[in-house]
Amino acid sequence: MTRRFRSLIWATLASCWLLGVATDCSRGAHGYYGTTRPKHGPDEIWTNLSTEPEYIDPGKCSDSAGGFVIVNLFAGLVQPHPVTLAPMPDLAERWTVSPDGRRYEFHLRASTWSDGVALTAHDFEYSWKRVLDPATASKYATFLYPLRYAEMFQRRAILVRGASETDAPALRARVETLSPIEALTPAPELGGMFVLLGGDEEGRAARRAQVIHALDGLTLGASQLHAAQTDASVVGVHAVSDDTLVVELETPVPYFLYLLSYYTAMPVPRHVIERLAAAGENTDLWTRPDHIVTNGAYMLHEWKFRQYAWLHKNPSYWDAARVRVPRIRLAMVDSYNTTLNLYEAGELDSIGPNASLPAEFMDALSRYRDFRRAPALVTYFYWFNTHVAPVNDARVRRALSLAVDRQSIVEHITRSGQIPTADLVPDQVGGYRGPHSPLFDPEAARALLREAGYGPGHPFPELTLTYNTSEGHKQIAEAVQQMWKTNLGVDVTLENQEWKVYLKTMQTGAFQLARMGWVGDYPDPNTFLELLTAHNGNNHSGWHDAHYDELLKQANASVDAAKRMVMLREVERYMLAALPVLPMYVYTRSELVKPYLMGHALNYENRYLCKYWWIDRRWYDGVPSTRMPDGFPPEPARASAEERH
Amino acid sequence: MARFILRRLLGLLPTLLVIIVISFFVIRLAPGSPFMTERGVPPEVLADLKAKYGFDQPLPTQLLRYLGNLAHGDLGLSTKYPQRTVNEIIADGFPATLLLGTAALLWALLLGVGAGIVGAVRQNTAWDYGFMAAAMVGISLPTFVLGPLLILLFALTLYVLPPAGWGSLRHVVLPALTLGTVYAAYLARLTRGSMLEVVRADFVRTARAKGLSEPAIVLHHMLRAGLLPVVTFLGPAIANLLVGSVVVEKIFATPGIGPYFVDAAFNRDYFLVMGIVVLDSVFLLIMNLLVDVAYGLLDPRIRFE
Repeated sequence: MTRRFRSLIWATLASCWLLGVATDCSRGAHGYYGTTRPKHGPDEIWTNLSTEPEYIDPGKCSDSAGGFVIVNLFAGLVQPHPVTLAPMPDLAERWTVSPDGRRYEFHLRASTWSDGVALTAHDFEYSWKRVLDPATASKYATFLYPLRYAEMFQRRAILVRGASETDAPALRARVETLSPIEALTPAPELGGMFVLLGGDEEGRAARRAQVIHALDGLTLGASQLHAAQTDASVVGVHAVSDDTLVVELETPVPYFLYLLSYYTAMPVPRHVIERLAAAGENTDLWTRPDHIVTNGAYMLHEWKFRQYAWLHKNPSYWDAARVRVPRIRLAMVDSYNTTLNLYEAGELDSIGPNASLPAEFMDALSRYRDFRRAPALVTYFYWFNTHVAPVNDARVRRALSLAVDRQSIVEHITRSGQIPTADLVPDQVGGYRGPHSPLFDPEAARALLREAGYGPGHPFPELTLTYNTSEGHKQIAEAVQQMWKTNLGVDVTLENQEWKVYLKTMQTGAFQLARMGWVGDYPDPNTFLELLTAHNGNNHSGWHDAHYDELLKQANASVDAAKRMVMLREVERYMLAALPVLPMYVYTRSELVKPYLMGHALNYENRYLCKYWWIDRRWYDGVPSTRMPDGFPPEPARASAEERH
Repeated sequence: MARFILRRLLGLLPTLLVIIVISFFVIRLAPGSPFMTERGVPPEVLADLKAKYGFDQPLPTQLLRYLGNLAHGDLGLSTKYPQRTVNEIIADGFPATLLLGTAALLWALLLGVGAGIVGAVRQNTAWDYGFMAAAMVGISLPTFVLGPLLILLFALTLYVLPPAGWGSLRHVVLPALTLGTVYAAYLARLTRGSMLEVVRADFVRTARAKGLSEPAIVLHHMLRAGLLPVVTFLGPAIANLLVGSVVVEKIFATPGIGPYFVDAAFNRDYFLVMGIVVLDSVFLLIMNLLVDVAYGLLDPRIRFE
């Protein structure tokens, strides 16, 4: 061997050693992941959105990255408490609720948009009607469906004035000569009925015009009919003065204030949108930095497409005194590896709400002191297609559910402290206690399968389990496949599909079992239980039970909150006996947050409220021995701002 | 030569048209639609969304409209980023991809051609073995391994370069090294191989006999002949580098157009997919044309007919 060759080998060994050192020394200082000395000044916090949002328009947004930006740029009538998410007054100083729970009167404090224009109750009326206007094509308009006649307006129902409920059969017969009907609902306050057309969506606009033409001026019985497409004026929101907003609901909605703290209910600046429209420009562009006007804790200072955004403190926010950090930088880095690298190097102060860390990292990451974890309002479950044999038999569904060892799945596969559950609604949501169905009982499962008629003479057919392509879903599906084989002798074929293909499969019902993770929209059991009602477009189980729908309606009509929770438990118990879903576990959310970033709460809905954030400056000089209090506001006393008549 | 180029340019148009038509139908064949989410949307809203993008028209009508807009340079609206046109999205991301691609290309040429020359001139020495072994490693080492290794070393241990992000020249170094290295490795082996073919050729012997200096022989005579296969490789390589890399741009969070190749298809962002396909095809076709032109310049035996 020549001398040159020997030196080459030495050089290789030396670089290997250097890489080894690199792995050791960059981690683990004081037990934290990466540097703990703030890299940026105390006036800046850097975090990650993970992706370019689709919209930062409150009325149009439907993605979590957009939601993050919106809740920090805009303020609604009420705001969530940073830890518990309980609604607290924001722009509405106080409000009153009618005894039947169907009428709210909000009294707004005086405030302005960031350009100095006064913000009034009329802005809210405009913004909510804009969300519901079908021309806006808001994907989350259903959040405002509790408003009276909101759905009829958004879905372009035909309002037939002059028709009463007794005319319904005749009206139905007349309309059905022209178009299928989805629903015919009375509107006694308007002296008429709503006709919601059905059939394929392609020709619906043309058919609607035909029906209106046929009905308008028609004499039915004693009365003459006036038919027109439902307009915004009938929707249950009205500004009665600059500082008073009256909201009327279809039925009492116990979680209505939670809905109002959601970004969809936040106001948009009418004057800016209308100015763009008058100039003949695309009104969608009002959220660009050169046009946008906000009313929340921050203003949008700069936006670099798919790179970063800078939020600057909004001095005209009514609660500006509480906002402690003048500037927030939101990166848009989607790779979790890259995000972790940036966090380790101190380029990010937290990895952000949308960075999903793979299960394989959890054991290692959870040992660091800056690792945090909180339960999320999300349930992982499998849909049963109840129209397809053999899972059209409730006994089979229950057998399959009882044969899944959920504890083992969360311990060995997901590994992030997920809570195994055989209930659909996560426990403790809004003070709810679920039925706590048995998690795992292979003996009972086998008995149920025998009861359903399967045995040596009648073998169980092979099942197909469909999931959207992802390593995590695959591992769970494989474990379930193994458990069913071992515990029940049932064979399962696994089928993975790319996301959009998968959504199509779900919609067309071309599956036997399919995975789903349902994110609760507000901390109330209804957000999960409503999913299984007959008319819910997201109920892919095909399980439609009128009694269930009625039970849920009765429970929601209850004004007594404690009694309602008990009733809801019975509703869930009723559904779990039929078991159109196979619940698996409740998600958790894991995050890395630098120890110097204070006021950063992990709540179960992933709301990131930057106005509570601040930097503990002692970390610039080293590791302090104590932790300061975060300085969160006290939890609001129940209904502190609310008076009931 | 001008006539040759003009004729070839005109020939590109039908090719481009075929690519566009095929891609247009293939992306529409994929199940699912851009507006599909796990939370259903009322049919009335869906109808409005479809009408906004013209998806309510029959496919041939949509294709004709797309081609008409394309002729005016309008690539359409993105469905994933509804506040942006595809033109804006590409214009936003292309500079970053271009800078990264150019830096990677320079690095690849410098290292690859340099190592190839040394390997050929000092054939069967430790230099040759060392460089060629390194090139073999470079070819086999995927970017998603090399990138994180470089980050570990330069960003998280030595703290001399940022681990990811964009905004200054320091941000370009690591992604360019990652992206360029595999090309450098190919170039090194190609350059060495083709230089070895001419190292004992008659015209090289003549040059030596004339008493030219060794650097002049290597750079002027050998390299010119040896570069022909390299140029063939460089054509598509440059086209690839300039339209971005999915992996490298993800690892280093480069705000380029690379990730759209995958993301736009997953999101069924039809017009963005088409925009990227058109861009990529144009680059590839033009680079191939330039390769042919370069052949004529480098090889005295080739004439433009």
